[in-house]
Amino acid sequence: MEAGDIDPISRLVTLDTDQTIAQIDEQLVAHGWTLNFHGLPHNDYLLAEVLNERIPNLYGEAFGGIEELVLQIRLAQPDGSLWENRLTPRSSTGPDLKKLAIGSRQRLGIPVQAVLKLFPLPEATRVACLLFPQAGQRELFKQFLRRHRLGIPLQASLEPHEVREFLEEPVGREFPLGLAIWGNSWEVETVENLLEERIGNQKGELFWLEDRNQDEFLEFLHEAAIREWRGSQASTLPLDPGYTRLMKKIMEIF
Amino acid sequence: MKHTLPHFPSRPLNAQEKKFEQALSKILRKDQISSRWPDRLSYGRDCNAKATLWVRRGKVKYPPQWIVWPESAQEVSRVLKFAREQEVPVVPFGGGSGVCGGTWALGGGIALDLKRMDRLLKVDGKAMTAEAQTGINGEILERELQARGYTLGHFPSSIYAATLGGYLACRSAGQFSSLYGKIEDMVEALEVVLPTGEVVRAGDVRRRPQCFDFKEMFLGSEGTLGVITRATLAIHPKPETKNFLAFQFRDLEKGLNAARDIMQAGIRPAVLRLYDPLDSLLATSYKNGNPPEGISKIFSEVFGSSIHTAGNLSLKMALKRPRWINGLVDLLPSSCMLIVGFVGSKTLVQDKMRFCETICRKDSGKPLGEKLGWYWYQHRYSVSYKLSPYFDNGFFADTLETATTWNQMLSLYHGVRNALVHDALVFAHFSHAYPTGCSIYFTFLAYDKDGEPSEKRYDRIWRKALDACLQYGGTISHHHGIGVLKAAHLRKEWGEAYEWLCKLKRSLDPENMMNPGKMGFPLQWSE
Repeated sequence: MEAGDIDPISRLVTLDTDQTIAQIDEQLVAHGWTLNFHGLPHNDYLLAEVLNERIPNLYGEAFGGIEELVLQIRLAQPDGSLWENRLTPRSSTGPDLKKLAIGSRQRLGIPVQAVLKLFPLPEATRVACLLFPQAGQRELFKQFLRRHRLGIPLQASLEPHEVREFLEEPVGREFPLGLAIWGNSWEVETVENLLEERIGNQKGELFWLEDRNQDEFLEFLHEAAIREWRGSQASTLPLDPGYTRLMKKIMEIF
Repeated sequence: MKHTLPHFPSRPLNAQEKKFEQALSKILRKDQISSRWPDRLSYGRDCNAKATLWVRRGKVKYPPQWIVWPESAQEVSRVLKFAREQEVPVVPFGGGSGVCGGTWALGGGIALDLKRMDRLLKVDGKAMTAEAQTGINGEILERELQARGYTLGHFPSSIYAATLGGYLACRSAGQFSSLYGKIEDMVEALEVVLPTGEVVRAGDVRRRPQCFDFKEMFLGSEGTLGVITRATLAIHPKPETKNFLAFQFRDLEKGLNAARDIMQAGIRPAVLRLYDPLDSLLATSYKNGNPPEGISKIFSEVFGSSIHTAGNLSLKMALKRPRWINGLVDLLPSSCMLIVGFVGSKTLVQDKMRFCETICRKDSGKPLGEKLGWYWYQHRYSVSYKLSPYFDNGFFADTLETATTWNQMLSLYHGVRNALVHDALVFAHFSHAYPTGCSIYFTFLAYDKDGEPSEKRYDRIWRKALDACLQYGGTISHHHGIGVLKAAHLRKEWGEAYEWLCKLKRSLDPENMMNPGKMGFPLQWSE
C-alpha cells in the first residue's frame, strides 16, 4: 500500500480488493491507521469476500458494518466497464448502489476496489470485567449499552470459571460480562465514566484489567465474542415469502 | 400589501375519466376518492420554488385527475392493481413538502395520498424500535414518541409538513443527523406495496448476513418502484438535556478545520453548522449584542431589513447585478460562525462541550457563548416560512444541498459559488457533518423579473449549480432527493450504473405507472 492511497484529511483509504483484511490492517498500522474491522468468524477474508458476502464486523457496534465503513465501491462489469457510486459521505440519489452491491455476491459486478473509512490507532484501550449477581441484571446492563448506543467495540457474556484467572477478586456464581473500549483518550475516558456511573444501578461490580492481564483478557474476549456470535446465528429471522419472490425476480435481471 | 388571488381555470374530467372514477369507487369508498378541482390543484404542486412561481401566475401545470386516500396496505394494493390494469399512472403522496417536483403528476393519473394511514402501531422499549404507518406526520410521530420517553432523532426542516413515507422515499436527513444518523440509519424494516400490488416486507439483513438488502432499494426511490406503507424504526431514549455553543473563526478554512477536528475526535455532536461569511453575518447581526460596522453594517441593513419586508428597493437593484453584489460579499470580513449542539445526559453534554471548546480554541476559534446556538435552535423551522415575502416582491429563492469529503470541501464550495455569481446572490452553510466530510447547503436568491425569462433563469442556475457539483466532486443531492429538478443530472451522477437502475425499474414496474418521469425515467418507455 502506498501512502498516497491514504487521504489523511478525510480519513479514507483506497484499497484493491484482492488482499485479506489482516494484510490490509498490517499495512495501515505502519502508517498509524486501522480499519477497525474484524471479520466474523475470522479475519482472513479477502476484502472482495467481505464485500460480496457482507461479512459481519466483530467491532460493528462501535464502528459499523462493512456497508457503513465503505464510502465507494468499484464494480467491474462483464463488458469491462466500471460501475461506481459517487465518493461522498452520503447522498440522496435514489437506491443506494453501494449498499445493494455489498452482499450481492457479485450480481452487480465484481468489486475490484473500494474506499474505506480509516481510524487512527487508538490512544487508549481499556478492558473490563463486570460481575452481576443475577443474569437478569447482566441483561439489563446490556440493554442499557444498546439503548444508549455507547458503541462498545467488543463485549461478551462469560462464565464465572472463564474469568477467575484474570481477576484478583474471588469470583463465585456471578454473571460476568467482558468488554473492551478503545479510541482517543477522551472517548475512552468518557465511556469509562459512564460505565462506572451506571454499574451501581444493576448492583454489579466493575474491574478494570491492567497490563499483561489486559492483553490476555482482550485476546480471550475476542474468542468469547466470536463464540457468542456463532451461537446467535442459530436463531435467524425467517424470510417473508414476498421478499423471497422479490429477490428471485430481481436476480433475473442480472 | 394587497394580494390578488391568481385564477386557475378548471379542467373538468372527460367522459372516460369519469367512467374510471366510477370503477375506482368499486374498490374504495366515495369519501376516499376526489376529482374536485380544488383538490386536484392542491395535489398538483409541492414546495419546489418553480411550482411556487407557477402558482403565483395562476398555473398548476401537473394536476392529477384523481386523489385517493387508502386506509390500509390492502387498499393501496387494490388501487395499484386497478391502475395497472387501466394503465393509469400513480403518484404516491405524503405531505407534499418536497422541493424537487417529486410529486408532480407529469402524466396525470392518481395521487395516492397516504395520510389516512397515520398510526403509530407499536413502540418496543426493549428492542428500541417503533413501528408506524408511513402516512403519519413527522412532527406527530416525534411528539408521540416523546410522550413515551423516546425520540426518533429525526428533525428535518419540513417536520411539520412531511410524512414518514416522504422521509423514506426521499432519503431525508434531519438537523440532528450528526448524532442520530440519517433516515436509512434508522430503518430496521419496511413494508412495501409493489407495482403489481404484492405486499412485501423487506427486513433487517443484519440478522441474515448474506442477503441482498432490498430495504436499500426502496429508500430514496421516490415512489418509482413501489409504495412504502409501513416502517420499523430504531428509536432512542429521550435525551435529558441539550445545549449549544458558538464560535467565531477567522475564515472558512479555519472553521472547516475545526468542524472536521470535532467530528473526527469522536465527540458526536447532535448539530454542527458552519456558516460562510455572508450567512454568518445574516445569522449574527444584532443577535450577539455587537452591532455590525462598516461594510457589514451596509449588508445587515440592506438584507436584514429585507428579510422582513423584502420590498427593499436596494435589494432589487443589487440583485439585478448579481456579479456586483457577490463581489461586494467578497469584501466582507471573512470571519465565520460555527454552532455546535449537544444532547444527552447532563454529564455527557458537559463533557462534550468542554472537549469541543478545547478543540475550537486549538483551531483559533473565539468562543461566542451559548446564546447564538439557542437562537438558532428556537428559530430553526421558521426560515422556510420567511420566503413568501420574497416571492411576493418578485424575487425567487431556492436551496441546493451537496456533499463531499473533507479534502474537496473548499474547492466544491468555491466551484459552485463561482458557477452562480453571475445569476444570483449565493451563500451557504456546512452541516450534516461526518468524520469523512459534510454537506454544503447553498441558498441562492435572484430577482424574478417577469414570467418566462425568470423560469429560464431558474433552470439555468440549477443546471450550472449541478454541473459544478459534479465537476468539483460533490453529489447532486445530499438529502432533498431528485424528483424532476435534478433528473437530468442523475444519469451523470450514476454513470454507467444508471442502466442497472433502469433495468430495476423495468423489472419491478414494466408498465412504468409508478410516478413516471421522475428519477430520470421517461414518461413512457418508448422515449
